Amino acid sequence: MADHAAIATTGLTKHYPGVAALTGLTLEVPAGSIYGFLGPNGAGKSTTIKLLAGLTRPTSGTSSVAGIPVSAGADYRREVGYLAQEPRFYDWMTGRETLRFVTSLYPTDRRSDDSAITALLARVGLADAGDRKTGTYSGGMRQRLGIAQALVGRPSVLLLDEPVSSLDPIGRREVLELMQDLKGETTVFYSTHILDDVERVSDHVAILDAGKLVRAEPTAQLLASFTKDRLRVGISGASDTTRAELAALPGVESAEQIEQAADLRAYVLRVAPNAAKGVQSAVTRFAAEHNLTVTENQQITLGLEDVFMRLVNQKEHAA
Amino acid sequence: MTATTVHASSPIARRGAASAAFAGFRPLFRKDIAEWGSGKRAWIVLGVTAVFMALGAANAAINAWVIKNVPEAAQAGADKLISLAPLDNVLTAVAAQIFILAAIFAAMSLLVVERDRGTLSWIASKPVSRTSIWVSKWASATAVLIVIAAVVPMIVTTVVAAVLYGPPPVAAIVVVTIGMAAAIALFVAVTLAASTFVASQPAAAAIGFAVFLAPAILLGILPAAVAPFFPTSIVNWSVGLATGDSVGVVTPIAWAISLVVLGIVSSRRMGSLEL
Repeated sequence: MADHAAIATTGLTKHYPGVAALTGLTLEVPAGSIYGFLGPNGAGKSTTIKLLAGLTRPTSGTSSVAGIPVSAGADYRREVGYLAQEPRFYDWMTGRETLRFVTSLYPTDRRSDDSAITALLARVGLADAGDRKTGTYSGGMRQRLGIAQALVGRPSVLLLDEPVSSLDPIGRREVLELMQDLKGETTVFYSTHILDDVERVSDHVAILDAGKLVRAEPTAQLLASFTKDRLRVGISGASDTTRAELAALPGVESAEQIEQAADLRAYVLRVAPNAAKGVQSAVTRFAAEHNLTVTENQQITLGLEDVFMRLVNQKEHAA
Repeated sequence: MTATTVHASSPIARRGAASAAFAGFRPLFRKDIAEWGSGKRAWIVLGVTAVFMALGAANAAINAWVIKNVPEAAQAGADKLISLAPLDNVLTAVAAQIFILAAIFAAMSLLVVERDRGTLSWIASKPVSRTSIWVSKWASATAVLIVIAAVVPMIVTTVVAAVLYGPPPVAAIVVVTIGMAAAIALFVAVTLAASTFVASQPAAAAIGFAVFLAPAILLGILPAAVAPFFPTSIVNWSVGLATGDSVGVVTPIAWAISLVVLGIVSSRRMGSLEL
């Protein structure tokens, strides 16, 4: 059997009259990953998820899940579990009846029996509320039932559209823990604009802005690409010429003074690729030769929020 | 191992295609039937339709009683304008076509509400066909409305007519009830088809009412001979059959063709809906 990506899209495009919601999205989502799909409001995240769920048709481009193209219809949708941004179910059904109904929509070999449904309800924390009408559920309970119904049928991929954005902190934590718990069992592809969540649970991240993919790679790699080329240097006894002297050190591309308090000054040095360690040594030697005291000399660690802002604002792109 | 080629035109391939087109129909139909039982809508339709038709059938008896007690009306010969024949009064109740209004009102929300609240996109993300979603809505609404807006109200009306005027002919009642059922099936299909084009309940209902009223308007312009060609004439056709008129087969054929066309158009529209 061919080793397919969990999700693969090629040039996926959706244009509405006057609005380019998504343009030329080419993406491969590794099987078993928890893939965060980041972007500001209106970036095209929901459009992408709806295209992947087969709910709307692309203007051009293709997409597939586990090697099955979206054009395969019901065969494709068997491999996809979808949770809408604000999931709604039939108010007159209980949580358990909702899952029974969903399982009845699948072929026999994908159906869950009552004990599996009970286990699923317990897994999403709805064991006690399973026999209550869904009309009485809170937003967090609906979200958890939404994840449970998306898991019915054992799909290859879960598509979650903003699964935590409408939840309170406790509900958010529960859903994120549930998503982490699914790692290795299925591929979770979810959209969000909450950067902390992505940093916490996602092993891969794609950043979308104005309908275009800005960056897609493993989260750690993305963060590392923004931290390895910057040093924060603090020097006591520095003068007005120190910035230029630091900028002239081998491996330093630019130096910027960012703080000053009495004779203590702090600088950010942008260094050439893979030159950070050498520059750190050069800074230490430079300080010793000029009778200066180094108070800090370390690589800058950026959070995903900083990286996201830099990428989305197009101010700079990491190498 | 022997490989077998299945041609697209073979019976197996055709069965496969039909199965894909109606994937998920049975569970969706069971869910839609259960949904009718979960609210008050069915009871309201049943109550309004039965009371309205029973009053329609009792109208002649009420008028006869009034005339009997108003000497001026009796002297003017008003009682001669009233038929106290049982079947005539059952047909008077049917003529108001309240069951069609009930069908349009009941069907106008079926798809639109599901679209608005997001359950349609939820269901459409499952391994079911969108044709199944539409057909299930149509079949379940038609089945329930036939019972609550045609069969039960007709039984009530027949009992009222039997008590007031004597027993009407059962065969004629059955034929007219079948005509009512056919009209319900048609107007549920019209309203559901409209719901695939418009996104609001009033707009879907307006299209249903336009189709309901259009023949009366058109027959003011066109010769009466075209009336049998309207699928909406199916109730009149059944009444004609029940009363022994020569009615032909044009109307049932037009009715059947219109249902098939509505189903095909709706299926295509469902497939292109952006959810």
